[in-house]
Amino acid sequence: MGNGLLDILLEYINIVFLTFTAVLFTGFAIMAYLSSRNSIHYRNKSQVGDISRIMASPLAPGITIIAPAFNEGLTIVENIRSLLSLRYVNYEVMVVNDGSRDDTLLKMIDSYDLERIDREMDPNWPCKPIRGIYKSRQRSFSKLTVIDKENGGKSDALNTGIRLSENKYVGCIDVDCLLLPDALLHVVRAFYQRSSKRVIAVGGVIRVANSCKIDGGTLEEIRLPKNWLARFQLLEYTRSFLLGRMAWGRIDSLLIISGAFGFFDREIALRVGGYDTGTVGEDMEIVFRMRRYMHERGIPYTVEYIPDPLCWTEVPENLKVLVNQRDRWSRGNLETLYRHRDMFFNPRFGRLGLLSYPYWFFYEWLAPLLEFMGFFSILLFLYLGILDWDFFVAITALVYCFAIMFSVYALFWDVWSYNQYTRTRDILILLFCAIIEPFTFHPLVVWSAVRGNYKKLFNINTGWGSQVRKGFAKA
Amino acid sequence: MLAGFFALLGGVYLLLTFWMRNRISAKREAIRLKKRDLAPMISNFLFYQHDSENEDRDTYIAMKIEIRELLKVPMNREVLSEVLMDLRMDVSGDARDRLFQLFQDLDLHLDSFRKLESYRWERISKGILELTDMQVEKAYPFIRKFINDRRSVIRKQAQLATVMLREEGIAYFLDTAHYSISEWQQLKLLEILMQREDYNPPRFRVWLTSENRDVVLFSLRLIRHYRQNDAEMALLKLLGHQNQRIKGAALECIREFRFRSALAPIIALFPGVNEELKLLILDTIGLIGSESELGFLEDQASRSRNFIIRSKARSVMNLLKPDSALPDAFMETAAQEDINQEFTEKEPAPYPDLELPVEEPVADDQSKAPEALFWEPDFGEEVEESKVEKALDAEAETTVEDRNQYDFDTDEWEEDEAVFEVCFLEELDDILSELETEGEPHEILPLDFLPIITEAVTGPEPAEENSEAHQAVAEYGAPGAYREKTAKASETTPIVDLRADLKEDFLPLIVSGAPVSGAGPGTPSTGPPGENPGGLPDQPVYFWEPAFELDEMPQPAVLPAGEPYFKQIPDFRDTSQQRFSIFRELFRDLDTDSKLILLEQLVEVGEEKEWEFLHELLEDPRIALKVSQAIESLGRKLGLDHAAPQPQREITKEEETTLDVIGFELDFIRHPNSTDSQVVNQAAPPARQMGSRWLRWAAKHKRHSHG
Repeated sequence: MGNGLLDILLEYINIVFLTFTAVLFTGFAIMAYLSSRNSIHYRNKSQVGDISRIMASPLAPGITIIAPAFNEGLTIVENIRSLLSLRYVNYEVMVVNDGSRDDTLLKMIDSYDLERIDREMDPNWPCKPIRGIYKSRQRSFSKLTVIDKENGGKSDALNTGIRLSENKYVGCIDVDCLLLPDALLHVVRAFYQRSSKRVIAVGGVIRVANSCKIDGGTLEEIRLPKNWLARFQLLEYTRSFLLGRMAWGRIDSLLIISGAFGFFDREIALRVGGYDTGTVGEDMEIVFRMRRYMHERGIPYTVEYIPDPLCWTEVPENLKVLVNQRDRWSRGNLETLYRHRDMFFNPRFGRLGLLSYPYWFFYEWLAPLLEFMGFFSILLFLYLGILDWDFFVAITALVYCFAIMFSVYALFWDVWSYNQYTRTRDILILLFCAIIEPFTFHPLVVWSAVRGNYKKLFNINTGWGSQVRKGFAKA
Repeated sequence: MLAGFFALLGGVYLLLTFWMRNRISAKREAIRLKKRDLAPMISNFLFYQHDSENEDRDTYIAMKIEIRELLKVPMNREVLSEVLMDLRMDVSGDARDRLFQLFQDLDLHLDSFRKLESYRWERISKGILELTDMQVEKAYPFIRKFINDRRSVIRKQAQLATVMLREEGIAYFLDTAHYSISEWQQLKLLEILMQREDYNPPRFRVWLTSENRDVVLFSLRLIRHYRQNDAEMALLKLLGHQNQRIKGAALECIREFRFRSALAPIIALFPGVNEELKLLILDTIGLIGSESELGFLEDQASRSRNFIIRSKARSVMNLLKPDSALPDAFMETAAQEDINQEFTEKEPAPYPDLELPVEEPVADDQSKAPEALFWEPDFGEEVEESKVEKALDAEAETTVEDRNQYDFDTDEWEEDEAVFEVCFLEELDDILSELETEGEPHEILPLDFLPIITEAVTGPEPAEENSEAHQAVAEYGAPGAYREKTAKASETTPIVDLRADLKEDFLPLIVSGAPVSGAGPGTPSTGPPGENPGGLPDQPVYFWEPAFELDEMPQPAVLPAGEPYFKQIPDFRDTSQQRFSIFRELFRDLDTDSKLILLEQLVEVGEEKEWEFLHELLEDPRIALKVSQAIESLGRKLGLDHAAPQPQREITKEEETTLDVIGFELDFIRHPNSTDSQVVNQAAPPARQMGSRWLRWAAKHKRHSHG
């Protein structure tokens, strides 16, 4: 009897895992197809027309790039210089010094000849007090605005910038990100190219800048990172951005925009109250809220996605920092999904409720937990001697081969689309990463996700953690 | 089995990856090489002169044959098209026209035409793009039919091509566009129109009645861009459009063209629009409104729940009527009296870094040299700028109109000339009589002042009423503010712009012996600061001195009553007595080494005036030796008596009242409490050393006047 029950249980678990895997594979296959179609369409469309023509057009909209800075004294001057050299006329760079404890503000004042100005702030807008607003005395830096405020976190800093901005669109980026010169032109095109729907947000691809040759804020040469952790992350980003988000963008169901490169319609962002300062997944949460806002009012809208490599940033090369980062992502995931749980399979929200939310719930949030439990289940079954070896080997091989195939597919599209890692050695290294990832990098990600969920469920407050900035390497 | 399938698929993708990479790299390299070969050939073609020699013609023909052969290979045709498209960005004018002609001569446009017949949208788009970029005008009727194609990329390309290829294309496009026109598309269309040279646009108001709202929106933007302000009624009507963007565009046109008739409609529109349009409306009211809109603005400033709207409304109120919206938030209750009290108790300190002079009792001993009683305000850069750097041009006419450059109250200037003359003469009499009754020598007054209208000085005003004046005194560093605030407030205010750039054509009008005691910028001349709290300077104070040495300063200009002052100004076209050396200006700013070098040049090219100038340089101990040698050398060269210094030139009577004084330098004298004014002068740059001459002259004059 006991054995029979155990067998049934085992069979049940097998079916669950099999079904889960089959659904996942089907979903991935569809995503691969959609992303491919989108890539081809996008590339063909990009070949006709020159976007640089509108660089100085009188109809070109104003954009404010908001870059929160906390203890960025090492690289702040160079980063701002990079932001000030974008090829676009009508934009503003707003650096929000979020109560830095180092010499971030002093360096900005000295380097850019800043002086304090009088500017009113809406007293009803909830954010930490502003200590001063600065503009440069020199005309060449007239695009720069520096806001010095008390520490309130990234979301608070972004909200301050959104409120103080006077432009139609705001972009929220990390201050240490490197934007390509034409980045804003692409963003404007993404906002403006729809006629029947209002584009409320535009997201882009984040590329890995580790080990790249960057000189004077300009990307000189693209190189594969030397650090293995960075290499794994590069592969992961390639899959995620080139396949995953490209597919979701194709069906207008993109639920997340990277905090390192995201642009919003300022009016809508203000109406929804800006970023939520109570969550660590603020970039995902604001998109949820903006989409919900438009849905509830029945206003046709869309969230656009730019697959061009416009934004380059440093990824963690330290294990501890990486784990903390993924920990935070998973907590943000859980917070956001919980906050908007009424969307789950809710037809009122269209594809958002029937497709996007369930995907995020099952794959982005639940999958790492299932994997973790599955690992211990296997150990348990092994111990109990009830493990179905045939099934176990078959499904493990299936998942493993699929994962490698999917990674290689992403590499293929990366080469076809942008052909950035052209050396045979680089492609082989990435292939090797794809082969060993399920045993090395992936368990780290799973562990981080479990840890983040544990902290969230048991209310263990750890905040953002820290990222050690090295500055872009001058190779 | 499934796992094996995925593994196989992974392998296939890997191979495809390498194959794709190689193909892309190879193609890129092949195109690069081809371009490298064909580009010079094309350039030769492009810049070939038809009237060149036979040899060049032969080469040209051979090249043409070679290209014809190359064009038989499809890849070469593609590359050639790309080369021409790339070259298009680098040439202009005739070269560009030849490039476009070459594109057609080589029949490359036929390839583009063939692309138009493809079933694939990307090929059609590419063909349209090529024909457009190479300005194949005859493609216009073929491309035009794609304006309303259901495939958006083709449609958009065709729209751009239609507008670019022919001037009337924009009209055709606006007439026939059925689909919506995105903002991006509008941007690109406008950019194309802007690049047209000598473009005569049609009247876009015709399309304001279109049923396609994007056509209406685009037309509004074109109307604004080309400033076609003949659609006032249509614009007012469009304020009631459902679409917010059209409303916004109409508002922008109204704001641009300042249609006052739109005031009432936009105010009526205000409640029903979003924040962006509300701000636009307020901005427009600020431009076309008047004080009658203040009620509406005040309502918005007090009742609106939006902070930005409230702020904007207040700023527009102040724009329409200054100070109609004053800060009233977070005010304390009994503030005003305290502020006034502060003003009365504090010393006005326009130059916080300086010590204000302490009044000293006038010594009985008249033989004492007048001390330097003026302190040196720290004007910083402005001091340098205000110095006369150029030699006065003796041939320059000194006319009445020169006075207009001083900062007079222009309203007063517009009054009757006779009134001006009378007032001026009266004031002059008052000043002169004051000077005479005081029995003290007066100072020389630089001519950059001119009290235009003065009345009897009233006593100190009560503190409250005079708060603006106190503020003006405290802000003395901003003469503009001072003038604006006080010019109308007090007619006793002399127009004294102590910070204005001194003009070259000014002269001392009134001569006195000792400077006025206790006078200085920002303080009344009657006493040290604080003793006349209600008073603005009731007579100008002067503390610049001439740098050149004079035997005798010009006497006060005493004019017969009734004669206009300006008639007394002599004509300074006679240059016979000009002795101003150009080296004077050079020596002022140079260091010692440079001066030594320049002295050698001076000897070589110098004349009599340089010889006189050299004597002045003897006072500088650092170059005295070299100067004396130079004097000797130059004197020998000119046949002058180098042993004896040249007597000083006398100032004639006619020069006294002129506005042009030769070689006038400006300087400041240190605080009267300075222990050693001679030391001050020695420490100063060369120009300041002339101050000692001023003091000696002043003492001399004083002795004469009391003699």
